[in-house]
Amino acid sequence: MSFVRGLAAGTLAVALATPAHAQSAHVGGYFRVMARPDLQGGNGALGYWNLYGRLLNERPYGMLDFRFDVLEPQPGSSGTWTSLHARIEGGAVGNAEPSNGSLGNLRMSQVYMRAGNVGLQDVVWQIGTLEYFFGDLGLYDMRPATVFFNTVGISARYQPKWGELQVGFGDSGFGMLRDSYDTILTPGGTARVRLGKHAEIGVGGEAFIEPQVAGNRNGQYQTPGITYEDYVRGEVAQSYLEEFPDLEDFFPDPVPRSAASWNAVGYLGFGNAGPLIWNSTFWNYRRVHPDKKVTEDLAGEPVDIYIHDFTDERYEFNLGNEMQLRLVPDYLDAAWGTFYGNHWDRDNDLQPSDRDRRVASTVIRLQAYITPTLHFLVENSFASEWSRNGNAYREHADSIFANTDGRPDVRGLQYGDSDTRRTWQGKGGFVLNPTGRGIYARPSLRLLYGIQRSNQNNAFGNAFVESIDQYNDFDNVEQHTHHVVAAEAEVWF
Amino acid sequence: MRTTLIVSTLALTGCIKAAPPVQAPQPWSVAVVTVLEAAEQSLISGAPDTLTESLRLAADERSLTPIVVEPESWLATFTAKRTTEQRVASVADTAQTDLLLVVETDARWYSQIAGRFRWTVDVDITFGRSEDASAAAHQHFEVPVALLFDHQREAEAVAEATPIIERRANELMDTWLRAATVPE
Repeated sequence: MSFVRGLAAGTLAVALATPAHAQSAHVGGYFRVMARPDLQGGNGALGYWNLYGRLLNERPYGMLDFRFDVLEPQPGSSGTWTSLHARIEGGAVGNAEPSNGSLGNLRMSQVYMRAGNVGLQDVVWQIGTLEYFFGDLGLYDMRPATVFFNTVGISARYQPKWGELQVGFGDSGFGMLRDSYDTILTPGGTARVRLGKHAEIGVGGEAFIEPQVAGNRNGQYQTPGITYEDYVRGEVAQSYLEEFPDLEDFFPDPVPRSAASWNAVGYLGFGNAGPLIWNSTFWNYRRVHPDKKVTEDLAGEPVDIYIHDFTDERYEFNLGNEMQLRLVPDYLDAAWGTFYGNHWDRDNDLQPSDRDRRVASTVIRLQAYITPTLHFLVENSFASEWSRNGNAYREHADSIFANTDGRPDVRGLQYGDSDTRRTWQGKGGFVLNPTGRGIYARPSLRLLYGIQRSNQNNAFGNAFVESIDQYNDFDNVEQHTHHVVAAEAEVWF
Repeated sequence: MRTTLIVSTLALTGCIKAAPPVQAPQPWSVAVVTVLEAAEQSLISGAPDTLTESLRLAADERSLTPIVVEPESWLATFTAKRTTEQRVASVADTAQTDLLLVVETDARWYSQIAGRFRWTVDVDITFGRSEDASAAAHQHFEVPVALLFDHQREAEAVAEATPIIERRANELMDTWLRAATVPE
């Protein structure tokens, strides 16, 4: 008779269960939120950016990613399917960042439709935003091998068992220029080949072509007869008036230009062997798209200075690697990352800038499993950032007196008293992972302490006075060691 | 102080006990069938060993006698018979066990999210008496999975979802067995 009760319970369960495939709207996403009280005048981040490891350096973030299945794919069928995707994301979290969760800090970053088996078997068409990456450097939260980040258009993706081929074409004008929109044609593609279970290789690229359209105020132009030094000093109009007094009405008209830039990316992955879970190497080599213009004051009226020729030779090479290791199964895992970036600007030999520097970093994280859900984490990072055009960092509160090669220079374009920033960070603490072991298992609830040592003074986001004006209301502060504690949560869902 | 904190944390962690599994009144044999489908790839195969083994252990912990039914014996049938009801009836007809546990998973690509490769795994779990399969208990749910690498595909998505699937299967078996063992 007891068996009959079991059957009755079973019948009830059937009655209450959701019918298969009845729900065609889905939501996924990502959130991270943290409390990081800072007793040293900082804003709650241990250092300036992710080069020292994303842990304790990132701020809150949220993302909701929607999918609506207009036509669901059916298992075992090669019929047509199609789905709509939309994504809202941004750094808005109440009580955890300056906007206090303002929805104005969110944006609809992606909208696209995918359709499979339409016209071509096993080809997935995508129309809308096209962002695509080969993978992630999880320790840095960086994705150097990304294409179509700013592009809206159409792509076709073919995914046989041996890998993937993708071609795409679109327009990156709005993504790159916002309200100064001009068409930027963007052809590109990617290829990924899987070499068995142990290796994978991928390459990709995209070009950005902005044709010349004379008369279009948002097009590419160059103001003739001006110097790079006047441009970086913001003294183009002043120099013009010095040379041509009272001739402000004859300030030279801009000359149209076309512009082109490009981005090549690559990926090499291997692993599934012994303690090596997987090793991923990503790189990109890119020519940065030229800027449009700056605005100065010419005899009381704003004047646009067009700067295509001053910004069309900026290049970047970025290389990152991350190795994930299972050192002692069920007890200890490791992730080791390295990153190198070389950014150079052939137009600029004068002013230190983020476009003219070399950066290098290494981060290693160890995670020990006290129990399947209670872990202990330690992370260590070293980083060096070198400015190609001289001093860019202030080692001391009064370093303004040594801004140009150690000399005071009120007209100097350098900043601070060092061309190199060296940063060490150490982090550690307990991690609660309800779903079990794994450095990247989520959700993750972390109680952490972090320490940073830098040769730069106050090398973290802060609210200190940087001027050394004698009439400052607040004193200057000199400190090179920074501590934070954090309670934070992170989840993909 | 530090030592006290660590020892206290470990002690408290150790005090958390999961509810013991409900024991079957008899060592009923149970056919365990795990299916992996990939809707966008038109693929049907056996589920990863991680899932099958966890369900086998779960049945064993409940004093059941699990018998894993290999894909070779059901693949052709399941390729032709698409609905859960048809498949469960087929297992019931052929397995020659007291109970059946059929877990169907359908892994599907979702999107790239914040550096991860997100998949969804649709799961149908059916557990009940082979003699009356139409009255078996059933659950349908979806498990979101965020994989680290692109080369991880449908099988890895289901393997990643295994802890959730196992948990839901345990709940279903315990509910069914608890009702089955109530004395009249």
